[in-house]
Amino acid sequence: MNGPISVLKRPRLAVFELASCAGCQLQILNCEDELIDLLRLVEFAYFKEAMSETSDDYDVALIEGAVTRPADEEKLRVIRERASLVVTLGSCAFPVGIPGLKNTHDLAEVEKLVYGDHAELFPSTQAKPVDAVIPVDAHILGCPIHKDEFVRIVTALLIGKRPPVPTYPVCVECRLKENVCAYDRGLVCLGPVTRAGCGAICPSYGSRCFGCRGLADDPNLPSAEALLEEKGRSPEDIRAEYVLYNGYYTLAEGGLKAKVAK
Amino acid sequence: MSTPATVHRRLKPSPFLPDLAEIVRKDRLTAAETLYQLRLVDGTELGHVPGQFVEVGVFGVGEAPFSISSSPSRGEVFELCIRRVGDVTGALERLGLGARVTVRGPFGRGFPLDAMRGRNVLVIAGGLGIVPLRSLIINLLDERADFGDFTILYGCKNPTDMLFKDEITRWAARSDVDIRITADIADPSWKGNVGPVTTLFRRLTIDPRNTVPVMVGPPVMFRHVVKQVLACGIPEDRIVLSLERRMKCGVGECGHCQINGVYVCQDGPVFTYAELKRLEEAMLR
Amino acid sequence: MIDRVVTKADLLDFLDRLAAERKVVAPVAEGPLVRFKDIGRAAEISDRYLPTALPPSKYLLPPKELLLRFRTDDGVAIEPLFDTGEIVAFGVRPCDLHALALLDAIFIDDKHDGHYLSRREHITLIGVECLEPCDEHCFCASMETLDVPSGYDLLLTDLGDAYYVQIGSSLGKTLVESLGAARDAVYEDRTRLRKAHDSRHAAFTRRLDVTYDQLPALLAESSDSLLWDVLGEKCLSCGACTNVCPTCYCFDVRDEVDLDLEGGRRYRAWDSCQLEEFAMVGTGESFRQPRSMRVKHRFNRKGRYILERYGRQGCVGCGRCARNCLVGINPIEVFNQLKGQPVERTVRT
Ligand SMILES: Cc1cc2nc3c(=O)[nH]c(=O)nc-3n(C[C@H](O)[C@H](O)[C@H](O)COP(=O)(O)OP(=O)(O)OC[C@H]3O[C@@H](n4cnc5c(N)ncnc54)[C@H](O)[C@@H]3O)c2cc1C
Ligand code: SF4
Ligand code: SF4
Ligand code: SF4
Ligand code: SF4
Ligand code: SF4
Ligand code: FES
Repeated sequence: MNGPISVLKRPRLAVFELASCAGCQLQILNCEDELIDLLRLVEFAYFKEAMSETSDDYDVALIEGAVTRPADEEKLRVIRERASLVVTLGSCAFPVGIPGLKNTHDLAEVEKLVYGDHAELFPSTQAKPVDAVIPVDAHILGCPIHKDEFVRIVTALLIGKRPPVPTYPVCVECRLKENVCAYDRGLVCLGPVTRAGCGAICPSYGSRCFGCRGLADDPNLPSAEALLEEKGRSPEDIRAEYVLYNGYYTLAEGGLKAKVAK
Repeated sequence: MSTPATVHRRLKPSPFLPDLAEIVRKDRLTAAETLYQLRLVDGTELGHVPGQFVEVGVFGVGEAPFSISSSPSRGEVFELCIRRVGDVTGALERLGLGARVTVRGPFGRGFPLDAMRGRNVLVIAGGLGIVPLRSLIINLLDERADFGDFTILYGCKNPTDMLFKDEITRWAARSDVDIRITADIADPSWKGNVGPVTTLFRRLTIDPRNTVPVMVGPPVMFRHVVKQVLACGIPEDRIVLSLERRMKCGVGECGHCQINGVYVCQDGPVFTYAELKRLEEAMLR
Repeated sequence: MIDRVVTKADLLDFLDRLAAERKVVAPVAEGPLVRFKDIGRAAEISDRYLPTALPPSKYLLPPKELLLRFRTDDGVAIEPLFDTGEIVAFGVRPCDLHALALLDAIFIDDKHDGHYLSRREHITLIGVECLEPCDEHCFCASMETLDVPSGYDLLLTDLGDAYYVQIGSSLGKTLVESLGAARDAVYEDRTRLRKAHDSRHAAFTRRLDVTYDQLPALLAESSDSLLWDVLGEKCLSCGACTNVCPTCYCFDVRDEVDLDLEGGRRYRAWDSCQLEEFAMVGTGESFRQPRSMRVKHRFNRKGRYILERYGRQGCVGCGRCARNCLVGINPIEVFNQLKGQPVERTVRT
């Protein structure tokens, strides 16, 4: 191979779904403009939302959703065995997103609430990110993921480059967009500690950052928390801010940490 | 449209416009390091001075700075010794012979060869530091008569990390150069000195009036070796060292390589200790 | 060149005509912010003094700027990219004119950077003087950036019913000639200009306890100040201060590939010394890991390194960084606290 760009030979992709809303998979199908080009570079071996064939022969596994059952963990181990690259899709798979909200309640209560008297027939665990079960090679973050970032990361992986995911916080992108800061609109915002890459989409649309992409590499949590306190948030409020998308790592032993595959 | 009064210069091409180079040879030196021979596609010589570096780019992946490891006295090919650590270095390893990469440079201030002429030269290399120093060493050997005593101290972590083994053996066979090697950690095959490079100073006599020490290595090595050579009585402005920092542009724009007010890519990477000792961010203390 | 005077109505007319035929950018107010934007009509222009959210340097050194394009399918072809789109920037404030002059000195005079040069050659700068301070964060008077001796094509000063127009370049001269309604300035106009300038002194009090050329020495002495640790604890490393600063120009250089993986582009994108990765090297070691060192580096660059290297102010006193810092890190307080060592109290009150 002596071309100047060295490319993985048309790898086979498989898309798997754990506990999620399938919204991130739909984002892949939304890549109308890019899908044709993309299909020249990769082949889908398994993609429930898009095709009927199934195959166990794949190189890259894209995993959407959080781990919520013992069976999920088993499934992930098998995937890890078969795939040479494992990539998470969306906040549920990392840092855990909305499914993680269940961790704030007693597990038995949740099971009872959802499955009533049949709870013991549906064994369930704390909601965990994929990373808590198997090693992950790359994350496509966001709730839902954005198709541009999906294409950017997939093409990077194809030419053997580390996924281009920013290490810095959302504020960097937000100030570049010349947004009025949420803090100047009477809101609070997790932008100063949340990993960028989304183009500060929520503050740009007049909302604020809820932290769906997990923590930035080097967040100054004590200072960010002091700021939230100054804006009248109680320690419970601040915890609730983190728990919304970062439930697993907020509650996990060792506490909230910035962890992302590189 | 005419030009504003403040702008007189004609449009110059981009400092980011690279030359094309071709990989003409690849030699695996250790598990992580490979020696690349490159040639500029337009047939020109790189025209560097030992101690300078180039920005090498792989299309689509990006650029990274690498010291030039060959001597300018060796014609149109030039050599880079590269450790695989990330994107660019990983991509380079996957490229085959004949593949094209981009090259910008040479950049920076090299070793002060003229100030070294007529003096004893003491080269101190730690780890990958041997890479830029090899360029200097070959150049000195080619013009050996211009210099006084020539001593090389080289320290590596493990004996298996040692770079340029065959070449070093050939240099060691010469009577006009004194080479001493040490490994931080010995393995059963290792018969040489064990310990950091500073332990090689014990059996060395240095003439402080006429010796130029030139060192390249990791920050911890600098801290200890500078102390040693200062203790020998060598003045601060005769101690030469080369630093590594993150670099993006190579031309003093991007700000990444800054040490206090100094740009390593332009003002260095070669400095004297006198120039750096007051700079807190040089981390020499 | 003889100065001119133009009535406000005539200027608006002129800008309307100009905006109809070319790209004109100017400060536009929306909510609490003013932003430099393309305008269609002169009525959109805001005369609020508040410095724009991002400085006008975004037109000369865009946040993401393509440097080259390459294709590898048919041999290897590399094409450098130089932007030649014409822009007229109206309403550039004195502080920002000083900042642009600094960028010229670096990117043109020192570096001969064709990408910057090409954009600079295709922008027309129409400055508007400030007669009162923009808000509590500005300290341009202390940085001596309120007077603008050069660096503009035209410089306007508000005389009430009309603008006094100073011409800074041949380009400015051509432009003012196309502004048919302008008349030559006479003695009384120059008197009114002087009065307008004189009246500023009362409004623009000195905010710093040092002069700008004393900052290098002050910062050099303050290397071990405890203030850096205090600021390091508060700083969020969010990069807001560097993104909005008109004299910040650090960048990263990266590659992107086309979807066919047969070509792509190399570009530069704004970067910040406040971010951890900025000074990280191959071994994963960051040479400015403690936040306190990063904050210290920023203030040294603003007050000391740039001035020492380029002989121009590295901070122009626009106050943007202070307006955008969520934890209240503010150059006026930082410089004054360094001056009034030792530091005990924290900056945010
Ligand atoms: C003047 C100079 C001369 C040099 N000479 C040589 C030389 O002769 N030979 C040589 O081998 N090297 C040399 N280097 C070092 C070389 O430039 C670096 O190793 C370079 O970064 C490699 O580029 P890369 O794209 O392969 O690595 P990158 O992809 O940039 O990764 C660099 C490092 O960052 C770490 N890393 C991985 N992911 C991340 C992440 N997401 N965030 C942060 N860090 C991460 C990796 O562990 C890796 O070690 C020199 C450097 C300078 C400044
Ligand atoms: S809105 Fe949020 S992300 Fe944007 S600058 Fe303010 S704190 Fe940062
Ligand atoms: S702004 Fe915050 S909440 Fe919104 S998409 Fe980005 S990371 Fe998620
Ligand atoms: S704006 Fe404030 S908090 Fe953010 S990096 Fe700058 S000094 Fe730190
Ligand atoms: S440091 Fe702050 S006050 Fe100074 S020029 Fe930059 S943004 Fe303006
Ligand atoms: S800082 Fe000074 S020059 Fe800049 S806008 Fe404010 S008043 Fe005008
Ligand atoms: S590498 Fe860009 S300034 Fe030195």
